[in-house]
Amino acid sequence: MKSFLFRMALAAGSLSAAFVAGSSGATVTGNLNGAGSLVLTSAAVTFNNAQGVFGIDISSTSSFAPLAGTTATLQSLTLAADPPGVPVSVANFMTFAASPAASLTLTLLRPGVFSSAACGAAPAAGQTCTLAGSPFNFTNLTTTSSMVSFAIKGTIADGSPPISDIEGVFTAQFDSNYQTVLATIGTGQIGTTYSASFTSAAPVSASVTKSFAPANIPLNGTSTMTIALTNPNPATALTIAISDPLPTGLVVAGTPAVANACGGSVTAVAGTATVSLTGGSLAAGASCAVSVDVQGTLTGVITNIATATSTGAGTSTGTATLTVIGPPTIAKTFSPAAFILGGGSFVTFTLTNPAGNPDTLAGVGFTDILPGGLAVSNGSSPACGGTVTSSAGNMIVLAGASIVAGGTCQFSVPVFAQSTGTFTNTTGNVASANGGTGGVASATVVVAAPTPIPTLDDLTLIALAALLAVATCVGLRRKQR
Amino acid sequence: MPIAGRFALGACLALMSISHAALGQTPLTGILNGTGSLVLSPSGITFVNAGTGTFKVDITSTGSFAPLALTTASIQSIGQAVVAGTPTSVPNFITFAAQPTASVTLTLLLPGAFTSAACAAAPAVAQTCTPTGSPFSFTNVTATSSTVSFAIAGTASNAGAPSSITAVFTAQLSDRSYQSVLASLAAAGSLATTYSATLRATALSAGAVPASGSAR
Repeated sequence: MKSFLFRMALAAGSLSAAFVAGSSGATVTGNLNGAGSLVLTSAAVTFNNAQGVFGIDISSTSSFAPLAGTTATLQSLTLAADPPGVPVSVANFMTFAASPAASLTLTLLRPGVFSSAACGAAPAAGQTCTLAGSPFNFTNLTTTSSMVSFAIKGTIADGSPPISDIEGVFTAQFDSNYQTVLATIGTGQIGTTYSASFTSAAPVSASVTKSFAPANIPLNGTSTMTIALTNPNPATALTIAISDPLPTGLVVAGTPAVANACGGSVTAVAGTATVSLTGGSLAAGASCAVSVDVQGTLTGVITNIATATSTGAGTSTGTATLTVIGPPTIAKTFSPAAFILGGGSFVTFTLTNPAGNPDTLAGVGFTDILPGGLAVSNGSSPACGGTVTSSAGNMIVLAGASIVAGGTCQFSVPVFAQSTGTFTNTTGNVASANGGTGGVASATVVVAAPTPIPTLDDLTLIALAALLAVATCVGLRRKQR
Repeated sequence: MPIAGRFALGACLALMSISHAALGQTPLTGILNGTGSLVLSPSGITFVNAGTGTFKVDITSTGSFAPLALTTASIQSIGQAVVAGTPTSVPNFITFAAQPTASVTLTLLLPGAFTSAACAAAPAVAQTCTPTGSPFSFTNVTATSSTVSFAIAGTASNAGAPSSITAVFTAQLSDRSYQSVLASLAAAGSLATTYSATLRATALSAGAVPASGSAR
């Protein structure tokens, strides 16, 4: 089949009303049902717009219901200029006698949906056929009857925005199989009636996808908050506003680093809890994003909702969560807290994942260098899911530990004294991979000198020996008697 | 009556006689094209026979039907008593406002042309479906729009002159797939839309038996 041309001449009718009386400019929605007649040739489909003009049926709904009993006009289409499957823009493709401000712009003549495999087959019921490059779907209902359908899409407005998307389907039928129809229109024409239905949907709000990167930050750390918008309307541009009140525990970072690809103006002042966009715009089918750096000031899982308002198309929201994790805390004690030089003590470390922290602290570690006079034996052992290593005689290092949410862990290391004295020992800062750096811990241990054992001088020892000798002799003599 | 008046009356009577002979006393032949609106429901097909939904004979009609262009016809509803593929007899299935002597008797509602294999599949472009025992041939033109068609056979009589007829009806739903249509009908819903139809009438010789359903 060669290319087709669609034509529809102007229809007569009064030009007196909007879709809904007095509401020109309103969103056009609903179903438009109608019928008319056409003449099909190999080069064109000519709609009869005089006595076979497209009449709007009473089954039409919503915006189209008031048009029941009136007529509509379809402009001609040339397939060479508007081939199936190729986006086009045919203004005033359909106009309405009873609603002169309204018009339908054709944006796509859909390609036919069947294959051409059975287009030249012997006629049989149930066969389907779409010739290459054709918008038409032929079906043989019997061996001597057939139908054809085609579909369009476009936009429709009642004089001014908002613009609605619209889909349309046409059907017609013949008293011969499509093989005969194709042969006939190759050299002649066939007149028949058609019916058509159109569905117009109001433009819908841009969809919102919100995210934080990274999604987990340490307390007072920063994350990039991104609000991505997508216009799902294939032919309707949207004017966009965003409102994003930040919840407690989240503020705009000191350096907001605002990025805006949505047009309009973004408000995001450092230290405040509001991010907003006004006057943004989003082309049909397009996407854009606004991003702002934010700071987590409280630990916990923070849920944040952004609301996008699309003028004339409603609102939609996007939700994301940011996990803010505080650092571990550390405490230490010596037990015993005092010992005699030459003895020893245990230094015990207690690490805590603070209440309110929503997640396990990972990569926990610290370094504790003992002051001079205290010492440890070199070596390593498991501790708190990580490893504690003693080295250099006075250094204790914990690395790779983890602490579950709300949990604590504890380990001890034996300590020896090399001298007497009072030793105050302070650890380095305890840190974690995901919760940042915490504080230090201190403890004091006293090392005392050993108490001396009482002794006798030499003369006293000699006298004591002599006394013991005398006593021994006296004892032996009495025994002999 | 003056001579001129008698002549005019005679001429009018002659023209009426010719017209009546053409439209009222010969078998219906040719193509009848028309449009109207209908309602699909679990109880069957209800043709709208009032207001803007009334079947309107189109200007593209030919033969016996050409003079009926822009007039209306009434079509009886097709209820569950009419079983696809089973001979029936529904007199006055179609009657013509401008041709009271003519009527169509429905003798067969043809079975749909497709299989039921894809009737319950997820909606997709180009799917076809005829539920088991149904007269309907459904096609998804897009994933959210569909067409439905059905065919009938019957006889026509014009002041006793017989004809055989076959007819095809097509309709469309721009807001739903046929799966959605079937689901609506299964849930006792109804769907209103417009249709177009083409009917072919072929004169039968006296005593001839009209074929019904032979088109398949």
